[in-house]
Amino acid sequence: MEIDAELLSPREINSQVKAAACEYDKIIIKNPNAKHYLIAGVTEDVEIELDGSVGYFAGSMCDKPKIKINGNAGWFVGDNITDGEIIVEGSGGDGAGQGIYGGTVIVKESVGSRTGEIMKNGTIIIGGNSGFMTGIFMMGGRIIILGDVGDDVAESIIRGVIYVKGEIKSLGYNAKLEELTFEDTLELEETLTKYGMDVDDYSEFKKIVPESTRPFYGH
Amino acid sequence: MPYRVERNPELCKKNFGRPGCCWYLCDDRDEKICGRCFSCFNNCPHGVYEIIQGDPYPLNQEKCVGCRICLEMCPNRAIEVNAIPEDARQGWGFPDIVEIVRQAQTASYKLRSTGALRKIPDFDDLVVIPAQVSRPPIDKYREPCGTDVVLGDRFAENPIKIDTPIMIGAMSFGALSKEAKMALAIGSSLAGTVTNTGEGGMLPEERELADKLIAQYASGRFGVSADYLKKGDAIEIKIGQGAKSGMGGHLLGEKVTAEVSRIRNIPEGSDALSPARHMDIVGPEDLSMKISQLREITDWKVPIMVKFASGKVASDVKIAAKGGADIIVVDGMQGGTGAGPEVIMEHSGVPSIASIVEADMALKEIGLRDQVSLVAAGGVRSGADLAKAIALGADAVYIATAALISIGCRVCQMCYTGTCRKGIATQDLSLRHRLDYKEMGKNVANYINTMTDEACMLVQQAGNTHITKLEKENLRSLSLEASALTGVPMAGVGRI
Repeated sequence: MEIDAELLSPREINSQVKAAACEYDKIIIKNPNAKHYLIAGVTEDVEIELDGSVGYFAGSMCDKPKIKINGNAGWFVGDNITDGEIIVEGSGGDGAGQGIYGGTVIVKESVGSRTGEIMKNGTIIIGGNSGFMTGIFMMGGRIIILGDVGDDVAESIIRGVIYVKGEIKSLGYNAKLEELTFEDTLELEETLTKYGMDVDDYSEFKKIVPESTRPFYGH
Repeated sequence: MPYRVERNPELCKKNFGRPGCCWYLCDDRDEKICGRCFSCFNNCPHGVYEIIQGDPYPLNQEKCVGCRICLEMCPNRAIEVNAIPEDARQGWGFPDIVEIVRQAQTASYKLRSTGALRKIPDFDDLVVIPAQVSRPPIDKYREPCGTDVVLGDRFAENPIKIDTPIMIGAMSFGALSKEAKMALAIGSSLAGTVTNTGEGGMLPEERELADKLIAQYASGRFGVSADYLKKGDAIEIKIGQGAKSGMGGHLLGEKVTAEVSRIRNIPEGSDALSPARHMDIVGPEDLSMKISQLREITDWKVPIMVKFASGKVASDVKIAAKGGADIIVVDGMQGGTGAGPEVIMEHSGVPSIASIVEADMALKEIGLRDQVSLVAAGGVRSGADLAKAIALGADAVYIATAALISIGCRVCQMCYTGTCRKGIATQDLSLRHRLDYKEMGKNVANYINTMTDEACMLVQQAGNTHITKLEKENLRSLSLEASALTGVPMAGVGRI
């Protein structure tokens, strides 16, 4: 099943995708042209491949679909997904994987700031660097960053874990470094290998966790 | 306002020896202990009573807020609670002194529930002027008064169509018990209107019992998914609420029971953070994008609402309207909450009557008044308030605290403790069973229907045939303050 998005509005594209998702196992979208809100709220178990870059909120609130973006993604790719998988072959904007409850968001290159903000569960993998306040208000899940991370990483985190292979510019409020365990390295290897992003030395990862589970009241 | 609490020891001890004597259902009915009632001591939310040599005494009178739960729950009518006048020391009244001492001893600001309680200009400062010869009144007993309204038909395929312009505002499951949410859902359905999930996700029972249900989308995004949004009859983006504008929140894990955890989609017993602002809405363009995003998820079927705490009303309303909102809610500073700092409640925000007028004018200025529905919230209690809100420019109103009062709340202002004696703002099973949600659901409907009827009387005596026909020219102000805030002429000479 193939949809040419060249002359279609996001509303028309999403409408066609949702209808097709009930009938087909795989949908290919040609010429997405960095339009916003593409593949918003799809809840079918379907493979969707976008042949180009997408705008803001791509794959927002999806549950189950496997989405592959053969280009870059704008802000908030994979926002609030509850299950499924989104792979961005290029780079991503701010807020990648914002508020996810489950599933996996993978950006092969670098992303902007505030990756994984308010996420409750699920996994975010960034192949390159991630900007400032990565993991702000994180309430669960894990973020894996193969490159460097900016200032105030894990600001106000209360649950979850962030692994960083490169440099950490600074930690945010309530974030602390914890020693990487052997089990952590096994988990990282298993996860990254699955997406063809394996690295030479897993012991180079730094692990960031909350200092306190209750940093604001009664700690 | 200080209160005097008195317990009559003779009345207190009459009629013991019979089981189940309490007006309320006993939590732990046991005839052997019936003689040792202590209902006042056990049910006072504020610790006014202490037990001395086996008898309860209202020793800590300075803690009383006048909720009268002790009085209501006393099986022998042995208690009296009466407001006593403020003393004559102006700003240095006894309550002020008590609060200063409390702050000095605890080093903490005052946290409480409800909203602004001090006297600020409100609907009571306005009157609806009756029609006489220049325009004849409509006969309430023989002629109909229309009350149905359609909200959010700007872009949504399925706007909200309700029988009365009274809607139930957002109060989350978690803050409220399941029974309270079910009572509100039943009441809204019986009254032909709509209720609201609040920001705590959607209870399956609530969805089943409510004919129409608004799914709220707040900064913490708890319980939010495509499925959640698609189950709503409208989506409300909560930017802020009148009682605690610009405040984030931290829900303690103790309140995240197994059921709350399932609905909010977070682990049981875990804390939850609500940022003070949506992380992805920090400017006008962001709000417009958010509205579009939610439309795409819900296939353009349901109205997208935007709710603001009343602050820079005109600017916020214009941004939301230009950004594509179908419905805008302005929540005045009398709006309520389950928990918030008193200093924010009493000293931040704009009175509801002023925010309605400002919002209405803002929509007119940008030529979108006919397209965007306006909902007023904050301190609406009666049919008179409803009529005046509509005359000031609203298309409908939210009630919330008032709806809770209709199911038993006595405004004790301690919702945040989770120990609500009425089974409303608690997750404690032993307290929740006190709330008969089916009966209380009927109460909610009775209250809404009566409010609607009251409003109709004012509409008809003003010479109109439909509730939406009331206009600002039908109002007069009884106070200079209300006149200045709303532009409503003073009664009599009619000057502003």
